[in-house]
Amino acid sequence: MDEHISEDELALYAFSPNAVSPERRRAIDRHISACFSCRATCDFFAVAEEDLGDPDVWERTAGSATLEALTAYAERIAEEDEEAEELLKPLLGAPAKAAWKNLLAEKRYRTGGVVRQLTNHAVRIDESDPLAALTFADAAISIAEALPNDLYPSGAVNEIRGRAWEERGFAQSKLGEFKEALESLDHAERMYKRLASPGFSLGNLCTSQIS
Amino acid sequence: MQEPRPNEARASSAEPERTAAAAAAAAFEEVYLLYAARLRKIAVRKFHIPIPEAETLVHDVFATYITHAASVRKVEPYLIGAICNAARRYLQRADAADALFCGESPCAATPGDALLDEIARKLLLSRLLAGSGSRCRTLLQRYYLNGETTDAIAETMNSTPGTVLVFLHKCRKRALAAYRALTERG
Repeated sequence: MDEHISEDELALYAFSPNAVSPERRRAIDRHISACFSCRATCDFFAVAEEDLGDPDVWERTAGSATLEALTAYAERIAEEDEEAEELLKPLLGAPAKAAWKNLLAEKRYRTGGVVRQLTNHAVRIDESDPLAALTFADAAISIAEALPNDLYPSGAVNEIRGRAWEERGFAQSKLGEFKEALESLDHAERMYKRLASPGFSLGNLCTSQIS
Repeated sequence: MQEPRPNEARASSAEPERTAAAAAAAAFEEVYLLYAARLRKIAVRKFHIPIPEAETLVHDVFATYITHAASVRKVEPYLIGAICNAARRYLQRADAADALFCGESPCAATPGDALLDEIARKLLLSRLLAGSGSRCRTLLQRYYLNGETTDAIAETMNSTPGTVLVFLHKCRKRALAAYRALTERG
């Protein structure tokens, strides 16, 4: 095999083949058809030229409005969850206290994080203590319904509303309140259908209804 | 020992919360950077959704994902299923979904090998760019992403278009070297 083609010449050949003389072009063609290394280099230059114009390639370094908005949103959700965990510590172990306390009346409880924590706690205890789970799910619903519709982007507030209703239905079914459970699950479905991307939540709801 | 001032004490007690939230945001960012391009390509190439609308769908998919990320066991099928459904709903709304169906398993829009290869290649390239020097990155970004001409770049660099072309070539060669190092190591 003849000598390898220089990277400079391969780059020129990849970007503007017409800048290379026809005779030299034929020689390069012949060489790269037999030389894996030079062909790979030439392919890299040709493909990189095209790929570098794709905004997706630059998102990691240059960022994007979507990435910025969603990362801020993820951070906000994590902050809300942490605050709610602290806030609800005294209540989660005392369902009676939670039932009597008017969480909605206090602004600090009116957050998505509180709804998620109450619902998650209900999920954790619904097998062992469905009555307490129902109490926490009801508390979660009362707050979730009071939250503004545009609290989160893409109608995502309906996800936490739906989950609270779904958990209420599950606890009710454990308590033998089947008619009420069905109504709660219908309510959850209506909430999920308001999501911009409802597939996962509706699928989960469907699975829980079957089981 | 000197007592911390009230502001310092508050700052240090709030620090773990900020760190945990920042960690959650960083974890999300990694998932986003790994899959967002693929979701866009599926929406645009498989469902022929216009780019601005595809961007909105990707945003919606991730915004919903964030609210229940903890309960998602397999991120990739979740996100691909979600973008399929979002695209299908979009097309249904646009009365153009007749020829497309995504309720099957696997989804009819599951990306083929060629698309996956392209996405993997571009993901690698984006990592190479992130790891490359800022001068090269800025130059390549201005030329390829922003679409600035060599004349315009040369003017701001007090240089000539020819020199800019030489710099661009050097940067591509550096990217090639980094690519080789990465693929040989892998």
